[in-house]
Amino acid sequence: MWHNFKRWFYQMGTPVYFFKKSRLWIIWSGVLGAILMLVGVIWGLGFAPADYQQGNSFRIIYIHVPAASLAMSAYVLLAIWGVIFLVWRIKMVDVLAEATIPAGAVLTLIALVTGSIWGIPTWGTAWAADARILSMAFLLFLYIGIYLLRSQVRPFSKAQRLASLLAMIGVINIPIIKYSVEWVSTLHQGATFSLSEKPKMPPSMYLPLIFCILGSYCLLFSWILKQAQRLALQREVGKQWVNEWLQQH
Amino acid sequence: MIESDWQLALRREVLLVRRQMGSWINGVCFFVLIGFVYQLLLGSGLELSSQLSISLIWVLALMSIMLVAEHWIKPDITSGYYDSWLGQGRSLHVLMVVKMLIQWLVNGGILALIVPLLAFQLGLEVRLVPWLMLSIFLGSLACMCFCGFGAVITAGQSQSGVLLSIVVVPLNLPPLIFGIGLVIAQAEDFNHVPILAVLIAISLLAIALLPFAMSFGAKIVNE
Repeated sequence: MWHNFKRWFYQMGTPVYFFKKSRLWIIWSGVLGAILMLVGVIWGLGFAPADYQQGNSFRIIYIHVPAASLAMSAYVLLAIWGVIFLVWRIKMVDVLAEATIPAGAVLTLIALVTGSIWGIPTWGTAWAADARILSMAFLLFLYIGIYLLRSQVRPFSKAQRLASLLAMIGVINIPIIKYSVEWVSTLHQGATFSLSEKPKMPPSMYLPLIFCILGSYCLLFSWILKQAQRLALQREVGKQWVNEWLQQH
Repeated sequence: MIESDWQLALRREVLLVRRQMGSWINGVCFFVLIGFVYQLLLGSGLELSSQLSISLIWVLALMSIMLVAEHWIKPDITSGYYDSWLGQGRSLHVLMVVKMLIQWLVNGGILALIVPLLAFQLGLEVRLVPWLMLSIFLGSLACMCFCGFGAVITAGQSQSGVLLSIVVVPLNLPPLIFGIGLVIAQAEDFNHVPILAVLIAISLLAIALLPFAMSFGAKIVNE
């Protein structure tokens, strides 16, 4: 069992195997994610009851909550890639990290924009000096900083390791974002879900949200693998397996 | 007698601080100068809220640290000092710890001592001034560790200042939040003890962990 896992781990670490083996993962997790997301969004937008205080505007949580939680998860993922890359120097892990950065940045942006749109009818303002909003904005700049570091430092092998190190250190901001709604009195409401408590919404409202969250995780997984495939192909240009693949397509 | 890593690092850093006064005077002057600029622009008779002047002074302190952070690391890398340090089989981590502590005591200490001047310029209540000094003194250790880390990872480039600021500001969020929070808790008569404890904890964690990351980063940049 352990032996098999180790073999699988090392095989996935080489671009050739990764490129071949990840195809099915991309398709199936993409299909599953799309179905879950579609069900969640249609259910949430069309059939879930309106909130007694916020009316229909609350429905943006079916996009906002998945985007925000994914943005933070993607950062933690990036930090984990960083640790693995610094310790084992696996080529493929850095490719995955490079694929994660833009995805995370865009998700952070989506969370900020949907939050602002929701804020206009609900708080009466699109942007407030609020701990949660601002710490999310800092997360965006953290992603941008890591991206800039990767693209500006030369040689590239140094940039990879320095960016991994920065991603690792930057993880201190994740608890700040997560608990900013509890530490400081803010406009932003508390966590929608928690593992230890029953949700404060009826099932007809939170079930679609769970569908959306699970679906978006699957879609992110599929997207990162797809981008990693593309980047692996780019980096390995000139190798034999790339030439063979190019001839077939 | 061969000096231990700690002794040698301590002797070197103290010498550096004494001989290269320019590097930290630069940051301190910036701190005071921008204070004067604000006083000039705001004119007299205008009262800033204490929250505004506290955060202004804190951000200026952070910026002045950011400004000089480059001088801590870059000369060592370009002159190949880390190579010779590592070549003697010495621990780069020890050098980084000592460097940060010395810079903190000198640079952070002077920033904290100058705070009353800025507080006076910006019209901060007198009873808050000692608390602001304390919070800048304690928080600047964490700020310096994060800025030092940023300086290490951007040291390989010719124009590292711009990248340094983008990389470093998000990292400095925790000391900034709790440093300002401590003084505001005083201003509004909240319980300040937990905030003080968290601020000290952040600084201790930073000086305990960041030097490892700095020495690791310096080795990468140095290759």
